[in-house]
Amino acid sequence: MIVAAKPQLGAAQPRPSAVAALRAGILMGGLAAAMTLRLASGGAAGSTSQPAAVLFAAVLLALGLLSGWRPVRGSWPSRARGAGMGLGGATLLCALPLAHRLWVGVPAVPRPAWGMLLTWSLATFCVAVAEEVLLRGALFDAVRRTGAGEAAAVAVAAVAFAVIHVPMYGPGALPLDLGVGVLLGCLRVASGGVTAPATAHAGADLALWWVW
Amino acid sequence: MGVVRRAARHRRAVLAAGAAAALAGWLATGTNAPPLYDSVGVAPPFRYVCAPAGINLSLHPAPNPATQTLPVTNGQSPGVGFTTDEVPIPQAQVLVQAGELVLPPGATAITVSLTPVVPPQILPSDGVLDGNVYDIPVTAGNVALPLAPGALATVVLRGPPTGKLATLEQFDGRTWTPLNSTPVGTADIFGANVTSFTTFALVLPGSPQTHAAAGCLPGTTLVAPGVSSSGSATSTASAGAGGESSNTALILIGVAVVALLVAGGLLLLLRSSGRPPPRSGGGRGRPSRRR
Repeated sequence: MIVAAKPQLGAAQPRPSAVAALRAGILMGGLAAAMTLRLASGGAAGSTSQPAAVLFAAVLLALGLLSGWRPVRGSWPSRARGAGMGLGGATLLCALPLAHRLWVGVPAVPRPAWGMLLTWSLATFCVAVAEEVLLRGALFDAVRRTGAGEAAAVAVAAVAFAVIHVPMYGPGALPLDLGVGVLLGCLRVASGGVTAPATAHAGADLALWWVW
Repeated sequence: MGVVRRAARHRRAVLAAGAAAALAGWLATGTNAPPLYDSVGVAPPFRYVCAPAGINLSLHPAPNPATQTLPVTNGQSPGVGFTTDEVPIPQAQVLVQAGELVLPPGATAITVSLTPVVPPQILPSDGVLDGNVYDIPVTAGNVALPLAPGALATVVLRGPPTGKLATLEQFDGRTWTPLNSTPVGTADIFGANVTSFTTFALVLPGSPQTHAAAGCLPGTTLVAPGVSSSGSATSTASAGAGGESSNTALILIGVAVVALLVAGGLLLLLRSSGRPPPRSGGGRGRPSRRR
């Protein structure tokens, strides 16, 4: 007769949900510290500083990886489906503002000089992907593992996404970034990975150069 | 088959909810908004009173004047934290702590205004105006309120996107005085402490301009000389501004780096505590890393 061995759990082993909650809290603290670092190191250029933006992206990626997050090893078709969903999300994010701009003729958002297109695009892409790795990757997983469910994970990541942009864009940016954060979280839920929200996020950010 | 259909329906419902949330956010923010406030250096267009060369004023919304009336409580002036209502970045802001204004007897309320105005005839002698000139009176009835001795208020102004370090200057009806200015978070926003409420503007270093911009919005008030309340402008030279702000930035960077190191260390500790213990007997090698 084969008897299964009892698992040897240490007496001081913390509950997985408590560990996940602690991890989520640390990730949010790290996110706040990373944004402080970005603003302080950007100097007078603030959110327009590309080196500070790249540093911010690197710190977010490091935090995500240190927390144990790794990309889901999916098949190429599933990745392509995620990217397709993300492109759909980016199109959705751009469609109404673009239609409004064409219809009403609102003034253009100031953009960097044309000579900076390549570096601006790279910095923007890095920040968008790194934010998704941390928010819809590591933080999303940590909140979900607390047992709070996917809706709570979407909400926490969306609130964090909206709040970290307040120092750069003011409180008036909260409703838009909160709504977009919910959409990106829903893309994460529907696709099962960060490819979709990262594609939507980076696509909408990069579209700013061309259509705003 | 039913499970697959249910999953697809669930996915569609989730995506529809997300799209509705994004649409609601865009409508709540104002339909001039971009797809999202993110990226590297996205800011709404600056709203000018007087357009510099190359700017078509008809395509830009006018800057918003703002007025707020606050009740006096227990004979003390209320705290003021007041901005103009441009979204998402207000172009002007004034901050005063409670009890720091000298009230006339019988005052029941104070009024704070932030009014973008056409620049006065007298222009700064040490540079060029960067963006709008703001008239910022604080009054009770029609009486201008001075700050209590030793008290400071803070004025914050946004300038157009130049990426350069501007200085906040104060105009008392005769001269412009540079203030000890600090960048405030986002590019092109600067704040300074003041000891009186008059007229303020950002100034970029350079050759002094001889005349204001060519085109100005109709109906904007001209600054009358002598609008100042009693008290003098903070006359701290702006030379010290760079040193102080860089010290603050260094402190913030240090604090952020320490916080990040602590966060990284804690995350590593949590990872190792979350791993299953090594097998006791017969087990070889490292514990499984599967998650």
